[in-house]
Amino acid sequence: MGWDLTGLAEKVKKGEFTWADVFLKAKEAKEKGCADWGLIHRRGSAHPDLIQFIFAYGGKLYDNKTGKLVVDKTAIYKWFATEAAFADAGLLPRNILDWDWATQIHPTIVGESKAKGGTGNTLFDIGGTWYWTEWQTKDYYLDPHTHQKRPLTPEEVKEKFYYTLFPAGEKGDKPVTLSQPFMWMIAANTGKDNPHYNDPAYKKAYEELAFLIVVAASDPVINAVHSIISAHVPVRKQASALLKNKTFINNLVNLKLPFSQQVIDAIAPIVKKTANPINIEFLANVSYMLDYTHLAPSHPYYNKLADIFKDALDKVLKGEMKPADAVNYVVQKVKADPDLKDNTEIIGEIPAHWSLVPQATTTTSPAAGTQGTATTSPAQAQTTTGKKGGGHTGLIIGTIVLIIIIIAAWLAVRGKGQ
Amino acid sequence: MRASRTLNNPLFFLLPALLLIIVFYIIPLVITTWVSFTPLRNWRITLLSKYIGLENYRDLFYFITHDPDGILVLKTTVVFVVFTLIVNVLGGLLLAIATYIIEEKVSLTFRLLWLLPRMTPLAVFGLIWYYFFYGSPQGTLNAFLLHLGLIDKPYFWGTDPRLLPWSAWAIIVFVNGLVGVSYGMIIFYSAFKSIPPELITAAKVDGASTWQIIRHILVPMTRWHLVFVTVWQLLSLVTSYTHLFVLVDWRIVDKWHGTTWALFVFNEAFGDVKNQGLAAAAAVVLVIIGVLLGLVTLRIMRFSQTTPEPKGDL
Repeated sequence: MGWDLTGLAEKVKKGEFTWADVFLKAKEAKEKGCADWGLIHRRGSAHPDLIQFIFAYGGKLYDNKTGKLVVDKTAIYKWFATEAAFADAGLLPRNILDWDWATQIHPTIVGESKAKGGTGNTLFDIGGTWYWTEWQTKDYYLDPHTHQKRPLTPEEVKEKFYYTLFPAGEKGDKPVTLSQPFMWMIAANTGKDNPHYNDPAYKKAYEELAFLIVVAASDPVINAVHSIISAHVPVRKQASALLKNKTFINNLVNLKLPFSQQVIDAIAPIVKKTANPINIEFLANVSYMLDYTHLAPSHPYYNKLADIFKDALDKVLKGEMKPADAVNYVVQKVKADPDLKDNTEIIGEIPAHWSLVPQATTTTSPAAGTQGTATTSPAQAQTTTGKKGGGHTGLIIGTIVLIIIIIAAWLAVRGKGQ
Repeated sequence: MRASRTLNNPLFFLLPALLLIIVFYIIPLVITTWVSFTPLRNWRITLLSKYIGLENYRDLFYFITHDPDGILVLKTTVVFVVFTLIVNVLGGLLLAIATYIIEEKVSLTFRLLWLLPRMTPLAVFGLIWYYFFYGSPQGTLNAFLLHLGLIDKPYFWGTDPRLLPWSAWAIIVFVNGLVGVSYGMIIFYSAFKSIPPELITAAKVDGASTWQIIRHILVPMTRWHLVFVTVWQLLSLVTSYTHLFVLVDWRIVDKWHGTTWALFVFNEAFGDVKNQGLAAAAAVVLVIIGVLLGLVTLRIMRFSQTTPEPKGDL
């Protein structure tokens, strides 16, 4: 499609290339026949990839002050409306959440177009940095010459893919990435089985040992090695600096590491597969993304909330619900859940007249009806939800009446029997 | 003398069964009922001593009345139980009749084939249906229908909103029916075999057709079995969730169109966020409904008339 990508990552970084631009480019690629799909993303869950939309639209998922989860209606609406726009324009498969990782998602990301006899292709993908080495180690690519599936070579991955931060939702918003928080937990009574545990000197020794273990586990060398062999962005800045250090890289490639021989033997095969200049350059190039990272909430009920997001998004993508109805569905489910209702704040409002790309609602004729979803007013959405509530009451009364009839019939039969 | 007195005591014979029922049913039921009055979650057993009254029952009622999917769980349960019961009982009866009237050698193979779904491990059985209903052109059903030209693009049969709710319900009934139907078949077949063959021979001599033999001999003489299979299958289906779990978890069917009350209980107790208090409340409600349904069915089908008092002295 003749799109010069020079400087794109910088534009994304500055928030100049937003999701509206992603949409327009995806649409152009599809219309010009350059790609079978405009966008492909994960299956089965909203966490972690898709909740980035909430942050990209300036929303939040967790309130640090109250320690509660947050349902940000404005940001969630924009997320759902964005994905609906893609699905309505035929740029994103409506059933993407049902797709299979190994036979559909990855082959479509790395593959050639269906017209060329490939497994299908896409212009954009939302994914993790680890895809970079995953595509080099798993048979996702259908080679058009041999008609055999094979992994991509590092050179092919470099040639085929360009990578940026997750773009900002709108101009003025910021681009994002997402990391999953990890924490070290040490039991307060560590060492209690030691007969000398009650001796303060022993207790102190255990505390110091625990601290040292955490320090050792957070060691930049360990972090950098893990980062290279798994293609994850290093979480420590010193580890990130090591990726640019030639001596360290040479030592890694030659397995001259300050680890025990047992550990070195264990990681040797994967180091051989993944520690090459292209992968290391990639990791060094994406390390800046750490500055834009958000953390998924470390909250016991977060999974439950993410699950509700997934159900709602699935309904939006499949055209079962309009984005505004889906936001109300999320709110309704949160309020009905005994755990979430007391642990979640509901903030913001559904924007009255928002659409990802205003022109998109008029130019995409086949989906014009559904694309109107983006402009559905909250009042309309409320009415729909209200109707559903009425239906529930009727059904519950119906069920109770049915139970009464069954019991009455039983009593009648019993009376007759006697 | 002492031994014979022991043997005359009915409790002696009832004891093994009673012990099993007490250990594996009554005690768990009492524990479950108690858990339903506690805030137990994430298996933090220290919470077992905290009494919170009817809070879990209130939350459960609130879920059904306020959660957009709450009522769907009830609807799915009713549809699943009613239709699968029909398949299991009537299907089992038809299969038993078919296997009874055909030649024994063929009949044996036929019965064995129908027992395969029951003998297949759950994960394997689930995988078969995963690929059968899978939404890509490679999915067995899609590939077949595409080949015949009956559809022009593949469908996600159990999750496509244009086909819901009945597509998902049809899949759960079909998959469970395939497993359950063999139970009725075995019971009814053995019941038919216990009918004195002279009756069938006499009927044939009198010129009775196969249909008349089925209607006037086979079915009336196996009424007890019919009641037993119906009640047994009804109670099994009300509490069944394993196949549904696989179908839902692997996204073969839409989550809430495949979640029955029993699966809801399981997911609440063992899912991502474990709320055993709420799950226990839902389980207690399920037990009450099960007991009521069992009693009503036994009454309606006049079970007592099918089991007359034993003759002679005990």
